[in-house]
Amino acid sequence: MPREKFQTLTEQMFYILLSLREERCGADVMEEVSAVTGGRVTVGPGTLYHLLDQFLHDGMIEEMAAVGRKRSYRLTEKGQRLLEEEYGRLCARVEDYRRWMRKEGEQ
Amino acid sequence: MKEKLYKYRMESYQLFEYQALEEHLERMARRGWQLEQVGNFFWKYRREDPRATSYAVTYLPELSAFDPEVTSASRTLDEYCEEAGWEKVCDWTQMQIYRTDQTDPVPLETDEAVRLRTIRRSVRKSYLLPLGVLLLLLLWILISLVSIRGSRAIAFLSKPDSLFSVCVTLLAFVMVLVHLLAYGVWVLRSARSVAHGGPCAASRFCYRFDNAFLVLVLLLLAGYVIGSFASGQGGPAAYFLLYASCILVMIAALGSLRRQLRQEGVSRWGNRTAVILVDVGMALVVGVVMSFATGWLRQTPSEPRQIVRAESLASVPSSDGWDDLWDGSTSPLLSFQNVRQYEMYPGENFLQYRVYEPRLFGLSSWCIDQLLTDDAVSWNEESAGSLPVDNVFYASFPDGDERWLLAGNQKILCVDASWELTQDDLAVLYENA
Repeated sequence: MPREKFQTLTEQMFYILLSLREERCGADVMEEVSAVTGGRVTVGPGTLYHLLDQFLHDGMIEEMAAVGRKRSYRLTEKGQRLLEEEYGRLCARVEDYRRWMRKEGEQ
Repeated sequence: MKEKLYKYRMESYQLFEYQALEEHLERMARRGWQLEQVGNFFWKYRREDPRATSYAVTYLPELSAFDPEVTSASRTLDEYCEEAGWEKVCDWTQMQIYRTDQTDPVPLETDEAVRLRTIRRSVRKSYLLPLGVLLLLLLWILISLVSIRGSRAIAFLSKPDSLFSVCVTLLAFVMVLVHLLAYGVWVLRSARSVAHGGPCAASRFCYRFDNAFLVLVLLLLAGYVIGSFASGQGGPAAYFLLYASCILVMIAALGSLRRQLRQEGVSRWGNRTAVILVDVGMALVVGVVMSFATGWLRQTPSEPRQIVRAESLASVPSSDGWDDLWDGSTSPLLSFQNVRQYEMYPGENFLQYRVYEPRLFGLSSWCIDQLLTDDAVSWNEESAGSLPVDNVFYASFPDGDERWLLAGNQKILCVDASWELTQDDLAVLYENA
């Protein structure tokens, strides 16, 4: 079954939300994600459009004042909570991995 | 020789067959044809230097085919795509088509789960709903055709235009059903693949199926038209061709109007209202044209094959003369003729006979069954006696009229008469009708 909406975040979702901790327009988000991940993660324009639309619809981000035709967005509190939950999940996964490795090392 | 600047192709890709479409457009670009516009029937390509161009599509599910060409959503998407180096080519309902000459462009879609969700939303709106309605309509037509019983059913099978319309309806039903099933299979395969981190499933099944289907329909149409004109019964075929032409002209005109209004930025509501109004107006004009055409195109041949005159029967009551009416038709399945003769004065007597000649093995017994269940007539099986037939059935009516059904080798005769026919009369009728 496809991943349920926002139950967990895909890499693309995670980095888009992360980059929107600062107010940014869509094009800047694509650039920022690529820069932050050293080009490991790229967000396609189609995916970006759809995810911004979904985040906006679900109140994860809010639209800020448009400059010309460019619309910029920023993370909301709800979006921040989602980002923190995902960060917690990622940390837990990393901690599980470390514990496992330590256990293997002790044996 | 001057090379042509534009090429028009009929493309039968479905909304969800995006990989096949992207590959096709890239192949066309390598051959020197870049997509310029998606039309009602044909896609327009412009000649350019052959080169490796990448094509990619994405979808805007919230858009309608009646929305202005540039909306807030499409403008935003176009800006993002431009930033990534993609140039908008055109759109096809919700599908947005882009291209780039970059060697390693950022893909338009980088999250397959999002892509699948978007395609499903788009397809639900502009593909599933119309196809679902069409499927139900075609099913209703087919059920109403299959439920025809008795002599009407036999007469129906004897008409080439009826058979042709049944074939086209059946083919259309199969096509719509196959499209819906193909989409269902695609969704299941894509969902499974995406859940395991893969891409949406590739499909070009409908493209291939539609091309084969189109060839089949054209062959069927050619067979029907040529067969009808060759047998001297070209009226219904000409009527059909005129009707189909009117529909095609209507679709082209309404499509042009819709596109024009989109270019001018007319709102969805305004565009849809204008198209519906023009549609209704054109439908009325087509209705009037076709009602005039009915008179001079849908006429049956005026000369019967052969009439067995009532006067030639030994038992016929004396009268001042007889008038007759005839109609009939011949299809690849069976031939049918219906002859009605009326006494001119005093006008009490009549003779009507219908001849059915099935041309397909097994159809004869089906015809007999249909005739025996016709009109709630209570039939009695009689001995064939000296008649050159296999089965004889007889029914009488309270007013003295009688009906005979004579079934022999590939010929069935049904006779109604207002007087008592003798075995000799029946033999004359069966052999000469």
